[in-house]
Amino acid sequence: VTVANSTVNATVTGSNWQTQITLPNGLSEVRARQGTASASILLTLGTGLQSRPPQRFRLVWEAGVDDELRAIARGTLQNPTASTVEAFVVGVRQLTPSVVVRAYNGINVTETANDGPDVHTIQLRPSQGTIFGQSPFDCGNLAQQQTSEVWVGTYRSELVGSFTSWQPMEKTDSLQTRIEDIAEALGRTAAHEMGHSLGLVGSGLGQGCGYMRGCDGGHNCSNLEEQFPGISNRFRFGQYIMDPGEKTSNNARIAEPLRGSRALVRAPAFFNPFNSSYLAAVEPVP
Amino acid sequence: MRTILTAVAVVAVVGGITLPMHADDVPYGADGLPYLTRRSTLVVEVEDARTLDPTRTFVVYEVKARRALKGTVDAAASIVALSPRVAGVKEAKDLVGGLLFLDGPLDEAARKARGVDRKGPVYDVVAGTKGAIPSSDKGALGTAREYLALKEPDARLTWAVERISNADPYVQRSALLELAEPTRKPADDTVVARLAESLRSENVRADNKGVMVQLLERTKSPRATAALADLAKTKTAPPVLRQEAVRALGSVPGGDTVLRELREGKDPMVAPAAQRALELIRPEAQARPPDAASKYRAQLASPDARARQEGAAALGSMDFSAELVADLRQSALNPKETSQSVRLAAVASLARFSKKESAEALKAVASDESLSSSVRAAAVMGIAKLETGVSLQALKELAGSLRDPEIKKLAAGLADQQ
Repeated sequence: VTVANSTVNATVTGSNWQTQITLPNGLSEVRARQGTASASILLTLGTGLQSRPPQRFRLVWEAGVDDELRAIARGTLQNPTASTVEAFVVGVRQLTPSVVVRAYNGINVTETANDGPDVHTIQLRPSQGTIFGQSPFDCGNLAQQQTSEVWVGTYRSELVGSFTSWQPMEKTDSLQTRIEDIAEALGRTAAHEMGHSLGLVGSGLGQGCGYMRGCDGGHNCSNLEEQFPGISNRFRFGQYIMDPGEKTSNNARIAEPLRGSRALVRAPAFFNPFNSSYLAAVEPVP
Repeated sequence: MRTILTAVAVVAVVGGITLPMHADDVPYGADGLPYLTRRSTLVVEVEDARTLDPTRTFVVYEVKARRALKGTVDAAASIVALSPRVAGVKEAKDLVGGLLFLDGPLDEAARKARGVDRKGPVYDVVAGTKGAIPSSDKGALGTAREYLALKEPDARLTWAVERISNADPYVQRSALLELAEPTRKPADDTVVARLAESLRSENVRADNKGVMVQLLERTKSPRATAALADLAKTKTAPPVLRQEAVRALGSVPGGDTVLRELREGKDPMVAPAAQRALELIRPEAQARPPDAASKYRAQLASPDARARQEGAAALGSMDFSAELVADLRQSALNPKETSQSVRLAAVASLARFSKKESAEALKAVASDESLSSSVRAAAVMGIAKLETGVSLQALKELAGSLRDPEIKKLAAGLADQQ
């Protein structure tokens, strides 16, 4: 087994390899070789992480958001009736929390209705601009009571103003399809922003957690795929929740894996294995 | 202990003020000149800049413009520009001589929402830090000025096609994103040919090639199919890109034939991805061992919530049987179930059988007020996915019988649509 320039022998029993190696901080390519066969994995040694008390979150739908949702329904569906528009608002509000819950499945992060010292508040705001959301970055989840923002007005502006770039959406889609589209998009951004506040993804810009080797403003770094081809598995063009927004295709935001047509089943974004490992270390399920 | 821990939280120092650092989520392509230009109402060369008191989440600049490259500005007056306090936020001095892509002026409600109480014009920097090009980034400044000087869509298209494989990744990316602009129709043969050729260029960065893959996917051209197949089979290409090409093959003509070929091949990097891609477009592609249904049904009784959830989700891809629906119904309604994810998975699977039995099961879930409103709403949504003949009656009945006004409204709207 080789790490950096030092090689040690390992005891191999079936598919289990045992050895002791000293890892430097940060990223290391670990190469295992037996005869002429070899395989590599990428290991990350983090520092200073402690498991934190269970984290809870709540979604707060601010005044004015319903109007933005109505505008999305009217701007992305063909001739919706008044009752369809109202059903759209209800459906999106009901389904969005489930998307966040699903994203954190297996991590000790649960939904709650009320604020508290262990509660992360995700505000769904009517704000319109050129960001979908923002949140305080918190390496190690040291402060559990924080606030993230999701800008529903920006979603409205992008969806209605640039509808053709949201394929496979079509204006002839059914109401339930569009409810799921928007709940997936808002829930994904909510999960993404809370991910920042749990400590993803540290970068070398003095943010802390620099060993994570994030880039593009604290996100999964596409450059690692070129540096460690085949073993990095950090970035997937938006298929991972913490991929940078500017490199996340719109179809990935609505959990549709293809641009050209609807897939048989949705493929929601998820935390990559490295992000999941970090979350499991900070918020382990008992 | 908590106070001490909080005290070491990550901070940024901007204009001498220490602030907690933020991170953001921005739209696709927001790092490229086409988005920045399209979404800005004003682009200025910065004559002078200073930092004002920040808000909770924004750095606030006071800027004097030398001239506007888009829109109009009074060179004698100051404007206020807001940038989220994210990694890479610029010091005011770095903006002098640089460019700002601005969106605004913000109305009173938008200022209030951002916590800004200032007179005079207030703008957002487009896409946070991405709309601020500092004076030190000479290459990006030159490219931005060149791009901004092009006013006609055709001129921008020509500019883009010529620069797809430019040596500078920033230029490459902006060129590719120009082709991805929402106003552009899927590319013509010339552009497809250029994209296909550039996929093999060593000049182009892998993440920019990812944009090419998505553009080719959008064209639905046979030439795109050939280019994507070629990339998927190129063993020297970055694996992330090969897998992205495999995924995109699901959208293009003849792609399923290539996917079957890749699935049967021995390449461990693409064969599993090809299987997954086929499962997304061909129901018969799902591998179903003969004992799968009984295995997944047994999983529903596991003490491990994750196993129960996986079992419930997998049962949705099995052939219909009344027993299977009864098991899923029990999972969704089980009063001892502690995991909402298990209930939601069971509801989603029930919605995949367009049968009277599943409609009845979903109606029972929607009507059970001991369940969370999210689960009940998911059940109503599930009914709407069933064939109209099955779902319409069920939705009408629920719209009449449900007591929760929100879920009732959802059922009524879905029935109305049908």
